Amino acid sequence: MKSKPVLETKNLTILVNGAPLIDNLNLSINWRTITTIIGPSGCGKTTLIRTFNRLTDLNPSISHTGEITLFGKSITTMHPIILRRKVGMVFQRPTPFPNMSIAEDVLAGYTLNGIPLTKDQKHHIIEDSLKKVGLWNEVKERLTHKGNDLSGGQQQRLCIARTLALHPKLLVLDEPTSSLDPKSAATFEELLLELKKTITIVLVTHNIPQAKRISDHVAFIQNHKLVEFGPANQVLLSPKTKEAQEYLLN
Amino acid sequence: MVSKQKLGQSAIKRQRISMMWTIIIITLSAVAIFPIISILELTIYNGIKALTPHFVASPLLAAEREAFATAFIGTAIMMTLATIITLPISILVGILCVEHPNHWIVRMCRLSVDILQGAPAIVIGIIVYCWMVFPTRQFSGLAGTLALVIIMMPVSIRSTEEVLKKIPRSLIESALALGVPNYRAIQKVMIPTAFRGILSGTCIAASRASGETAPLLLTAFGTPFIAVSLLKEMGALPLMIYHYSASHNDIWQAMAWGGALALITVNVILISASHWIGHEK
Repeated sequence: MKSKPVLETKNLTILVNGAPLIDNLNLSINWRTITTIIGPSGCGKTTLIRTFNRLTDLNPSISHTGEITLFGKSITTMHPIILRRKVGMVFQRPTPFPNMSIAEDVLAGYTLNGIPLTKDQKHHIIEDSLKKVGLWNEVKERLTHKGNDLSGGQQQRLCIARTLALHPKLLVLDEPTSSLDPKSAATFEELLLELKKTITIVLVTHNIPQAKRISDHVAFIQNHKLVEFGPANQVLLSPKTKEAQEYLLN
Repeated sequence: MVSKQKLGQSAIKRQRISMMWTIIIITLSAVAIFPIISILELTIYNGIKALTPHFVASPLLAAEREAFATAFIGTAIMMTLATIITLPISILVGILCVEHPNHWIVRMCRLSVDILQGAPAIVIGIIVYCWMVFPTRQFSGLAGTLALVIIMMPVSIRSTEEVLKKIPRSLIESALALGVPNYRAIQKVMIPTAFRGILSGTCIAASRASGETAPLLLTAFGTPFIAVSLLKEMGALPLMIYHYSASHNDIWQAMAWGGALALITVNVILISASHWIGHEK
């Protein structure tokens, strides 16, 4: 399982109202790596990662051709609900559930799905998930407080904690540090490097220095096409194509 | 360079303009507030005069007390029932409007809500009269409740839709990204998050409906005797005010003021509740 790519796209074309947003994309995401997707605004990065867990199914104007596989299995053959538990997603802005406490938020993936848990299981999941994101010591005394009471950085880590609670195989993050201050963003980057030891991560960012600091692989998308894809050092420091040089080195 | 004298003149001019606008705003605010203060002052003054120990205790006024009580109970029963019926309808229609904003059914719903919102209350009374009272040859609390539901629905549905629209889509998508089915994301995230706002809107709708006389005149009709059966005529505060205010009997006129005070109190409670619920963190 580990030798195979976790997620692979073959000739993937994403269409919005029939027009291609992503054209003929071939990408391979490897086990326990951080793959960063970089590109100018509107090039289709967010739509691409939303296709990975079929959140794009919610929008009837978006369709795709080609193949996306998770551990060799086409995602179109999987039930979207099962797929979304395997491909966890964290959004640009932190979204703790306003009607839930911190503890309830971590367990949301179970409670909202009607999965019964014993008291011990609940406690274990809460502690384990919050420890993974380095939030346990900061919130263990106030687990009954609302997630909205936390700082922006803490809220974003809480959102990751609730995603990790479901033990996803792939974690997809859409510009997770864009609404955070530099200190919280640095803490967040350290967290991603720590998480990489146990989980595969796909990150969308506009922050090229951040990509340099934490990425193993980088995919650069421009004008609806994958311009470059390869090891981070190669793509970010010595890109081959003129478009990538202009965007990444300037 | 602009001289200090010119700068001083400019500052004085700005202060004068600011003062002028402040006076205009205060005057217009006073004009807006005056009718409310006047209504409250008049109703409280006359209403309290009606609800004297003599009215509460005198054996000669037992019938009047019963009429007052039946009106209050009738209003409480019909309003409670109407709210209980309106709330789930508003939530369901609101969700439909937010989830499928361009569906033809939703467009029809919005049009119907707009028409209902602008429809005179007496027309709603006539419609319910034709639906329920005329076929059964019986005025009833149930018909009154239905009329109140129809009056409340447009306000409640509109406010529910607006509240649901304000919930960030990313919140629902976060639930969906956890593998939660859409219906559970709506049920467990969207509705609980918006519930205070929905309840607040329903309180405002209830407050609007509580004072309607015309539709109740054609549906519940009113009765001076204690009646809690929904299948018979039922008293209501607006009906009592309507009947007694037209009489030449001083006691009955005082009772109409008492009813008005009770109705205003119900209104103030509902509006305050809507503010409290809506703003409570």
